[in-house]
Amino acid sequence: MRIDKIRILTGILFLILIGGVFYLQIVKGGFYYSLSVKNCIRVMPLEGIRGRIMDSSGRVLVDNQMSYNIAVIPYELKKNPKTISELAGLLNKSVPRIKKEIEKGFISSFSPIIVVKDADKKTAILIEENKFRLPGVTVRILPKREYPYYDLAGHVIGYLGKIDSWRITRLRDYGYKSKDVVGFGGIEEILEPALRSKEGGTQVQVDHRGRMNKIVSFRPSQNGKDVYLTIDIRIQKIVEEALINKKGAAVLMEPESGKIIAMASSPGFYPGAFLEEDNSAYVRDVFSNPDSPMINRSISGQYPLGSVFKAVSAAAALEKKKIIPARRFFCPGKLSVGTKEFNCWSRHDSQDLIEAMTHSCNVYFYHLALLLGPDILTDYALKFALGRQSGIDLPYEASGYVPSVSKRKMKLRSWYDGDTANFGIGQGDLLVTPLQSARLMAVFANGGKLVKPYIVSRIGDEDIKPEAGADLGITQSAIKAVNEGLRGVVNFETGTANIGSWGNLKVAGKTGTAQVYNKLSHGWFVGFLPYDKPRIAFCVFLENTGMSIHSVVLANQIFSRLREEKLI
Amino acid sequence: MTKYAIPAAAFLIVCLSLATLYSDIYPKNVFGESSVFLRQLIWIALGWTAFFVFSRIYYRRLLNFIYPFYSLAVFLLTWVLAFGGARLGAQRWIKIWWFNLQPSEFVKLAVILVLSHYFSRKGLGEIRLDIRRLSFFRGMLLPFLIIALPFSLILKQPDLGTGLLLMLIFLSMVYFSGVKLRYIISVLALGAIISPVFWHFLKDYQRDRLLVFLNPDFDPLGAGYTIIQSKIAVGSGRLFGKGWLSGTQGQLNFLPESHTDFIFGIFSEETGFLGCLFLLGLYLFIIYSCFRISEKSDDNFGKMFSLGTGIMLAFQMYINISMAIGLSPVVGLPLPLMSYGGSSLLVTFISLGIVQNINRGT
Repeated sequence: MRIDKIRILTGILFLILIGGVFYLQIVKGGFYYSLSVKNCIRVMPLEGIRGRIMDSSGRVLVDNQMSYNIAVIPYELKKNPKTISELAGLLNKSVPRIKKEIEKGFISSFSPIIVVKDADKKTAILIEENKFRLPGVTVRILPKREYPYYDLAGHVIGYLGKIDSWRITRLRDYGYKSKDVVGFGGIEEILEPALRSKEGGTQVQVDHRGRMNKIVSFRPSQNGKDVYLTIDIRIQKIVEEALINKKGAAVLMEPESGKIIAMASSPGFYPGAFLEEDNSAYVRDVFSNPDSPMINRSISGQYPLGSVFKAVSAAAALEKKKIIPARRFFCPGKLSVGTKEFNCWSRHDSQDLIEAMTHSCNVYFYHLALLLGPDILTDYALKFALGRQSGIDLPYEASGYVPSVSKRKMKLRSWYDGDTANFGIGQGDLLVTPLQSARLMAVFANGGKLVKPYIVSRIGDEDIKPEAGADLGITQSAIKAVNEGLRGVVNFETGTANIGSWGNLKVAGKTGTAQVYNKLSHGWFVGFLPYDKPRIAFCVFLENTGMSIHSVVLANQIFSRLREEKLI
Repeated sequence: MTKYAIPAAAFLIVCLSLATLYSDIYPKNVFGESSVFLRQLIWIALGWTAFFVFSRIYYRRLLNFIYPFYSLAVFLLTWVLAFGGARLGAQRWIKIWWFNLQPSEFVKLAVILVLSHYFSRKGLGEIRLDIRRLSFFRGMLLPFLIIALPFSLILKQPDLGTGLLLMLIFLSMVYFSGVKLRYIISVLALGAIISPVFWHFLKDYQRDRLLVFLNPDFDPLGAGYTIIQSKIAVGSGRLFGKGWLSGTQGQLNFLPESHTDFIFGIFSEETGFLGCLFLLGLYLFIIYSCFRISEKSDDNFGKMFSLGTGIMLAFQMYINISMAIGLSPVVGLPLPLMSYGGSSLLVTFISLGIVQNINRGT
């Protein structure tokens, strides 16, 4: 019978277990008992070094420096209670304060607790010299993050902080412990698995007086991988300097590949501040500041796009053969749609598409929008990748919002022709991130390809290959006509971005003033340069600045300086 | 006497479990872990209720609910995985009110039920059940397909221990049902051939654990640390143990997961070799009772189910204890009736309750 064989097998399993327990408890019992009584296995951790972050030409943006940390082992302190007062004397600290540190950092009897972080070399040497008086105190040399460029590219880099409860539940299986340090935001967060070092250490057996008997085992620590970014820190610096004391964002990318050359958001923060206790006031401030310095506006900020959207409306109208570039509409300064009057910001009289783009004439685009209808506008907004994440390798990217008739109906509200007219000039519910707007301009700059923006070029030894852009299938003649309009915006005397100081910078672009309820309007200037052979697609965005001309001036400043420094 | 065999032994084990849990958390009370003890008490009460309810329902009436239960368990498993997918790491729990439900525990019961039902069904023209005549397809492949879905979902979690356990339960039940031996052997051989491929699908930490088992020094600070500390805990118990509440390994926090997967370490440290013999004896008693009930039952479903339950308990206990004493890799399986954890406790009690009812029928 097979059940007998199962019985025998079960019996054998039991005999194996009894044998194993017998071996451990009876044969080796004395040995293990002595191990447990003396608590004599001790772990001495050895930290690895977290990966560095570099810019496109290998300049180190985030480095590691050695820092001296004074640590105590609680088990030893219990045996030598005098140590704390000795230590307090040497460090010029009060005994209760050190005791409080120890309480806060306690993990287990043998895990060292750091009582003085990042001590100066002198203190470290002082402790080492007095070692005989300080049983249980050690100097641990730990790597510490260094930021040679201070707060430059802070949003892209992210920062390091103590692990929070949400992260620890996700990461526990990967060996993370409470009190570990992990990346928050930016590259530090999204590439945490690559950057992170693996802790090593030694397990030693010690005798009853705490002296090392023998090494039980050793595991070397492993360093994290270095990460190379696509941004050029020299360009990043010029862009960020232009944004100082302003609220806004700027993105520069290669239109052919989607490679990000610079990505700035202002106000910013200093990534090194978050692990140091002394900076708690600064940290509180950056988190509670109403201007949200922690937000990377380039990818996480969603704003109404304003007239920039006219480029999309124009492309749609040409593509759907609703107009030809020579088609003229008359602008008397306003247009009645339904029962309401829609204004233009000036009176433009009769103009064709190129002129209308150059002057950013609203009436012309009201006409286009009404010719196209809302569904086609929605289609084209989606086609140009508005309303969804670009998939850039940074966390917390917002997707923006593209309105549509069906979405409106789901909220049980109606869609009027006036909404269509507004949609055509980028007002209404449409929301876009600065990165999306730069990506939109890249499509016009590269002749119709939608590229995926990326900011990491290499992780360790592995090169990251950019994804090939997807052809949107827009006819070249339509792109050419829109581009002529974009060029006119900067080049024509009456263009909205002609501030007379572009010199030999051949920029094409579109301004946008997006009205915000109850606050000053946002100012956009997006485009690409040089016009004949575009190498940069860009977006300069200023929050609540009032007029788009401010963004134009800022872009002009940035590109003039880049030209001066021979960076473009 | 036989009537009270299973509840009596289960009662003793549960008492030992509570005593051990109390001892484990006793010095850690300051950290608010006393709720572990309280929760376990509630679960045990629920478990006993389930045991008595199921021991009083005629088990053949459960047959109608087998497939809905199986579908529900698989659905919960998928659900847990879908939610885990958004996060990193293994996700094995569904949080309901104040407790965590672990669907993989319920899947074990569902698989035993379904396999028992499958192998106790007669074909239309058959006068008596003859599993030996079954083809490879009907005897091996079809029942394998039944467990393939939950099995792959559990591996995906990833929960190596439960996956292995499901496989062992499956093979034992197929063997017991009378399927031709060469089918089983050919499947085992196939498994041995494809296991290197399987290695690629393991998560890093699971590979680490297997490597650590082969050589504990491979990772002395991670998984290897647990094995070493657990061996110290067990070994230091010697013949009589250190006495209740006097263990040091668990209480000084050397042994991780001491109230769940490594509770055997705490128990054996405090009760010694004699205590271990007593506990193993209780398990053996329950398991052999299941086998005896299986043998005595004249209903094929009853036979299969009792055996499946006995096998489940035997392997689970074997894997857990052998990992605590360093004989097998750390795979993370609870010790039935001993470890802290409501789902495992509830499933064990339900299974034993059904077996108890099968016993009545004989």
